[in-house]
Amino acid sequence: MCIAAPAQIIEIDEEENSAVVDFGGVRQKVKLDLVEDVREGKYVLVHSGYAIEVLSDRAARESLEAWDELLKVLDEENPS
Amino acid sequence: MSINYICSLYEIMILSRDYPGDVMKDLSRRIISKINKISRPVKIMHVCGSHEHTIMQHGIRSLLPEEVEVVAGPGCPVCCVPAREIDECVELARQGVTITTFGDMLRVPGSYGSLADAKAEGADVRIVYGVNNAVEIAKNLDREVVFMAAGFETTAPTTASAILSDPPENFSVLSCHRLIPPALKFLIESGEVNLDGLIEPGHVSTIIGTRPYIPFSRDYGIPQVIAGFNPIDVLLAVYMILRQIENGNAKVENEYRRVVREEGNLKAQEVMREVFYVTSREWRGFPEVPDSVYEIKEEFSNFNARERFDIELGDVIECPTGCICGAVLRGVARPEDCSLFRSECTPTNPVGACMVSREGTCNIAYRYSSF
Repeated sequence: MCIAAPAQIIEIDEEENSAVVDFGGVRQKVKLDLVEDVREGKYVLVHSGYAIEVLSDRAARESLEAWDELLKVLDEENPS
Repeated sequence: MSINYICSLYEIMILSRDYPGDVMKDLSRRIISKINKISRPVKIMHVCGSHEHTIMQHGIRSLLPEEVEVVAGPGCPVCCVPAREIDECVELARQGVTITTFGDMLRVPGSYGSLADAKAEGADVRIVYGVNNAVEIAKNLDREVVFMAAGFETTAPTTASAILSDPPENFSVLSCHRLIPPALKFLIESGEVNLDGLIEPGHVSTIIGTRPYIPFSRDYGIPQVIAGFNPIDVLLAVYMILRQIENGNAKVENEYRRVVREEGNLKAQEVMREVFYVTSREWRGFPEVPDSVYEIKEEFSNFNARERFDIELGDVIECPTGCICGAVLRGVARPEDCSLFRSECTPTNPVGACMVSREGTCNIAYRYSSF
C-alpha cells in the first residue's frame, strides 16, 4: 500500500495547493500540501493522491555514458 | 570505487530512462555473480509488500544462492491491522455510519465478519483511493463519514494533512496507522527470527529518512539497506548487505537515493507530529508493540472517530482457525507452510488478511509462485 509512482507536474492550482500531474499519459489531480519548492515540469512521487517527494533533476543532465562507466566500476569493485 | 558510486550511476540510468536494450539483464547478471562471490548463510528480512511483489514477480529468490534467504516481515499495512480495529469499523458501519477506506481493507476478516460483510448486509461502505476522496464524500453527504486510515509512515502524513485542512464537521478518522521502526525493534528483540540484515522500505523511508534505522545497526549489529522497488534495486540491496557482512560492517546504507533523503520529508514529519501522538497497540500476529501506532491528538478529537462514537466490541477473535497469518507477518513462516494455502484460502475466497490484500505475502505467493 506504500505504492508510489513518479509523475510530472503539468499545471499547479495555487489556490487549492494542488496540481494536475501526468503519469506517462494518465493525468490526475494531486495535493501538494506535503512538498515544497514544486513547479511545473518537475517530477514528484505520488502516493494516495498526495505528492510526497520532489524528484531530483539530475537525470536530465546526465548521459548514456553513465552505463559504460557503471559496468567498468562494477568490474573493478572489489569487496575485500 | 564505492558501492555508493554504483548506486548513483544506476540512479542516473533509471532516471534517464534511456539505456540500451539488454543492459539491465547484463547488470543483474553482474550483481548476481558478485553476490555469489561473497555468499554465506544469511537471513535477510524486508518489510514491504512492494518488495515482496518485486521479489516474487521476478523470481529473485531463485536467482540467489540457496544459503541467502530473503524473508518477508510485517510489510503489508492492511494485513497488520488487527481484528479489533476491523471490529471497530464494522461496528460503526452497522450503526449507520458511512465507512470509507482503501479497497484492500474490505475483505480483511474481523471477529464477526469484514466490512464487505457489513456492506452486503446493507451498510454504507465505500472504497476510496485516498483520504481526500473520503473528505469529498463527507462534503456531499448529510451523514457521518469515517475514514478508516490504514497505512505506514508513507500514508499517515496524507491523513494528518487532511485533518489540518479544515475538513467538514461530519468527517472523522479511525486511525490504524502503524510505524515500521518500532515493529522492527520488537522483531529484533523478540529473537524469534534471527536477522543478519534488513532491506528497509523505500517509501516509508521517503518520509522518515535514514536516521530512525541507525539504532538497529549500532545496538544490534544489523546491516541495513534502504532499497527501491525495481528488481535491480533489490539485488543491489542484497549485495550491499552481504558486502557489509563480508567487511565486518553494520550500518545504514541508502540504495534508493534517487528518492530518499537522509532527513526524509520534513514537512510530512511536521504535519504528523502536529496531528498524532505515538501509543502502543497490538498488530495482527503481534502482541502489543510498544510505541508503534499513531493516534489523533486530543486537540483534534472532533475528527477522531474513537472519541466521537460509542464503539462497543465483543470478544476479539484474532485469527481464523488454521490460518498462520501471524507467523507469516513475523517472518517465521512462508505461505506454503500453511495447510489452508491454495486449498481453502485463495484470493477469491481468502481466509486470512495476508491472502486478502494484494500486498499480502500469501496473495503475492498465490499469484506468482509455481504450481
